[in-house]
Amino acid sequence: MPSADAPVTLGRPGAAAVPPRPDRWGWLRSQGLGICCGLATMLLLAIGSVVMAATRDGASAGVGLDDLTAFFARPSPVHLWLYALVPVAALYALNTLLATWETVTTRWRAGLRAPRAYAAAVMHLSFLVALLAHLAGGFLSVEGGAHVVAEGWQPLPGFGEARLVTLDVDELPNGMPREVRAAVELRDPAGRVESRVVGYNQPLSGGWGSRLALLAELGQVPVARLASGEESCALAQEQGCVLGGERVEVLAFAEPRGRRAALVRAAPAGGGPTVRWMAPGELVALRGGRPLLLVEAAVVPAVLLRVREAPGNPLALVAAVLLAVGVVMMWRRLAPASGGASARRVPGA
Amino acid sequence: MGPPGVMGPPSPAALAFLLQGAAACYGLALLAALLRPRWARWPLALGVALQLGWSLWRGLLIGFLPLTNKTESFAAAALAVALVGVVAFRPARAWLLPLLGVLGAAMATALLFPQGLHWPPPLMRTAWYPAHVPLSFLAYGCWTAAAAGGVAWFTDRDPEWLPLLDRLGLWGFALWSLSMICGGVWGVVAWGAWFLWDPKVVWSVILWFHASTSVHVRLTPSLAGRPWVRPALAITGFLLVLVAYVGTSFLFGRSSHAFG
Ligand code: HEM
Repeated sequence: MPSADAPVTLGRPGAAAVPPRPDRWGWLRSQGLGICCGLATMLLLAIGSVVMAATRDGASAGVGLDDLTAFFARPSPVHLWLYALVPVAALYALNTLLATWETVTTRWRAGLRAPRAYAAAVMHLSFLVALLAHLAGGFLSVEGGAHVVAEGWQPLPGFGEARLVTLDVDELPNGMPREVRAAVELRDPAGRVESRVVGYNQPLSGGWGSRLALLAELGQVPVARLASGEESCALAQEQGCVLGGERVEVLAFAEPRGRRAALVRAAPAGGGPTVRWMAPGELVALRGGRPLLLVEAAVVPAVLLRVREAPGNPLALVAAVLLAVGVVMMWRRLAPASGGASARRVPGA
Repeated sequence: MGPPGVMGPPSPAALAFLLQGAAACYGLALLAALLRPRWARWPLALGVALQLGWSLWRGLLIGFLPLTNKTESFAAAALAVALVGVVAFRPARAWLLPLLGVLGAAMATALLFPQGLHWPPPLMRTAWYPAHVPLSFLAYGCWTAAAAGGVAWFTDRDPEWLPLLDRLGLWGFALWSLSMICGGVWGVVAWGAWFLWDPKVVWSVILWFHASTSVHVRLTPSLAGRPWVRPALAITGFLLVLVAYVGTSFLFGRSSHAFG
């Protein structure tokens, strides 16, 4: 029975006795090809790192995070390294897949059941999933913009509506933030409310990390507290809500003569939407005759959340788990050789 | 390497002695390597102990893993090399001299930088950082020790070096894999992406491919008759570590991972 740790010679199954069947495609799953692909990948990435740094303000300006679309949206000879990387990575993946299939089936058929015999296969799988994660993340990620979340309910793409309940900042002796705890509430379309906490390294997350809202900034922002009869909402700049059946938006704030006023867009009685400055306590009539009151314009705590759809993240998580499992399954190979190495003659001595 | 820290609490004068003491021990190890290599392990181990004390004290002062500035970073690199040196010790001058040379260079650089303490910035404050960075330093340590083995092989062509290279290469690969997992998760919670087109991240991937390519060489029949390939790859690996560790911070300009 083959040993679990025995290296498998690919492309030459069943040595000596039986003459090997001619294997025209053996090279596709050979270790040699894998090594060549590995070296080529390294070289192309090294070139890419230099090229991206040199053209950061030019052809590579749009390349950010894990994005791949920027390389294709504005094709340029500057990105040749990436265009070459695509077929190399594809060949690398095919080579890994075929080699792994060959090793796993050979070992399984030979009756090998020790998990460590399949450690490398699990790692290879992790590499393949990581490549898929790159594709998904690189081509399908969407930047959802930055959204101010303050005391009023506001839509937060991917999370329904959100509002800030409390903002606690724990400071270091020098005044720098040590930790930020922004307690927020999320409301889904059915009206169910859920409490969550956002902070540095603690984003709002959904769908196994495929939807994220990350803390970008925190501070104080002016909000306009508006009311129409029983209905009310609190709007920061460039936010809107529906009051009295009409959409109302706050475009700006100003402080003429020390009193904060809000520039409000609404549809007044008998006309299309108009933009007008409103002072606290001021009342206007909306279309349909309902009143719109600016109760007050106050400065309140707020956080700025950057929203991102990153469908590669769950796949990357799978790849990470597989890689970790592969490392654990390999522990026998990693553990210091008992007696072996130390019993050997000391090299160079 | 994370973003730079901000000025922290005052640093007690005695703290500096621990690092200098560790440096002196490494100096003794070098002397032993020249005169009687077998004795080099003990001063090396004592240096590790002093440096661990230095790190622990600094950690207690800032309430976090003390890897927030250049001196701590280079000291950690030295510590990792020393630690791997103690664990994988071979009483052979050909291996010890290159290893201790790298260790000395890292230590000297750590001592050259200001010794002040820094608070970690908020983005560093996650469990993923203290997992990600020490794991990567340990991998650097393994690959440095493997490269020293490569130099030793080219010095005496003793085939007994090759299993040591393989083992250290595989340790480095495993540690680096775990480090990349932690870094990836940190990337998601901090920036929303597990991979960034950032020089440090790209070079980390290059290192990973180098390590994974290297572990296959032993298993590749067509390379069986070329024993120099593994030592050569081990030495190349160390050069790549240099680019990934320091080069990306100094050669590539803006990086989310640049030194402080
Ligand atoms: C791309 C082409 C690749 C091919 C053809 C290939 C093939 C193989 C084969 C046949 C083995 C030995 C059999 C076994 O233990 O199952 C092996 C081992 C291994 N492979 Fe790969 N592999 C490739 C890529 C990778 C990649 C990208 C990684 C990184 C995750 C990787 C990591 C490993 C590890 C860690 C081992 C165990 C090495 C050892 O035990 O010394 N391989 N590979």
